[in-house]
Amino acid sequence: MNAAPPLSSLDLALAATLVLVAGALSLALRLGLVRSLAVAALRMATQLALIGFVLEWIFARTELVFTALAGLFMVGVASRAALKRAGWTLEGAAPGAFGTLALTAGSTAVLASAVIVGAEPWHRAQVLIPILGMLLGNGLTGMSLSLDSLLESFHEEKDRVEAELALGAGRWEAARAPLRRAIRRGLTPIINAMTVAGLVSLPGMMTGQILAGAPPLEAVRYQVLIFFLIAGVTAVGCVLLGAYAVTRLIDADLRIRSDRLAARREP
Amino acid sequence: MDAPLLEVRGLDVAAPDGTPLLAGVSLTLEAGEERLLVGPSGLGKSTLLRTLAGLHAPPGEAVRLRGRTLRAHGAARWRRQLTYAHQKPTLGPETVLAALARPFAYAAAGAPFDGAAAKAALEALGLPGDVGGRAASSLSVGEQQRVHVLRALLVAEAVALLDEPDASLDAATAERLDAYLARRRDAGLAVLRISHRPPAGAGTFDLEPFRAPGRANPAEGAAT
Repeated sequence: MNAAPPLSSLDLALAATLVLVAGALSLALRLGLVRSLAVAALRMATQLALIGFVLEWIFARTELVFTALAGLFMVGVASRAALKRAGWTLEGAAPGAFGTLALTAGSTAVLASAVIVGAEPWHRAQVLIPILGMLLGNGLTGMSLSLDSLLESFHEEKDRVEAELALGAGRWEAARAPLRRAIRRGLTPIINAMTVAGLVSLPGMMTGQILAGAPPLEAVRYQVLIFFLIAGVTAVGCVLLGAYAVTRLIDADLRIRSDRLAARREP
Repeated sequence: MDAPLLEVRGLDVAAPDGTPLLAGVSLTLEAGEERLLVGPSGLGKSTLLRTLAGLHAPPGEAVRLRGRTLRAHGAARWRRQLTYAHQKPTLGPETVLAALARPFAYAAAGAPFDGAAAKAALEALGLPGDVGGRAASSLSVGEQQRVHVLRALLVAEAVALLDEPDASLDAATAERLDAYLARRRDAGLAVLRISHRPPAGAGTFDLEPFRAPGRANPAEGAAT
């Protein structure tokens, strides 16, 4: 293996001087970012170090229960982040976001690990956890954009949707236009990412594998696999989360429930 | 089967924040009747119409159509019979005829879309002959309002609930609308409308503002 040599603490300290350069620039240009830059760099290093220890610990276990708990925790954090990124809050959205991510990213990660990669055992944490993480990280971007679009439509165009209901539209007939727009919006980032993949940027996972000594063509195969999985998770996730949100926005009596929708205050 | 077409008995209407607007509203409407809702602005007339259509708080047992509640009919079928037209038109960039036809593609639609009847109605309302093929959102405010009201009137199988349908119309066009409504009433349609221009021959329902029990001054009661 021609893996890149392991990094020493000195190497990392050398790289850290680049952050100091950024800090110096902020001071010189009076950007007022020194504090947030320092906090962000420290947070990043601490979080990643912690997760490194956690992963070492989990990867050393073979019991399914540890992998499952770690996966559920990741899904929980991701669903919170997906909802927080939307500009609107929808009462009762949390179970929908959690369920959607658990169902789409969870089942896809298991499928990829067990069937496509053929890990032994099928729930091997070293395979399952990183794939799940990538699916969640990318899937939640699309899903939060999609949810944001849907909730904004229901706020801005409430009268239009209500006019359809007043004419005898069912829930899906009335929500058709906003839901379509929301799903399109959610799929745009992954379509853009696939369009420019390799031309504008080398995806992070592929870069990592190549640095770790994998032959480029093998890294490419994995990256293509990941892109397909992300596209599938995002598409199904946007549809499921959108459909769930519509059932909260238009109730069983076919009334718009604006009382469940609120603008998020800008911090 | 002697139940009135529309029967409202002791209906309470409140604003979305829970402030009571109207208490114990009772009225009946028979086929072919047109009635006007009268009362000061801000009273809750629009909220009352939206409640009747089941778009606001659930009307429950207080509102019956041919003797049956909204739940018994199902919300979508209820609104095909008791059809509310919002005060402000919300037409998109589709053509006028497409906008008029769309509700007839809904699962709850009873009869298929009658294009010839729609074209005749557009003309009766004083819209230009080629309007059917034009983008609905490109029309003038007054034209959009007529298309918007007509869409509800084409859908309504029993009662049309019209919220100031003539707000953006000049006197001559408002008369055309009244004439069209009169013909539809002859065919059995009942109309309950909010209007600043009382049409000839329509009866009225005078609505009383909500008064808190035991208070003489309604303004005082509303503040609590």
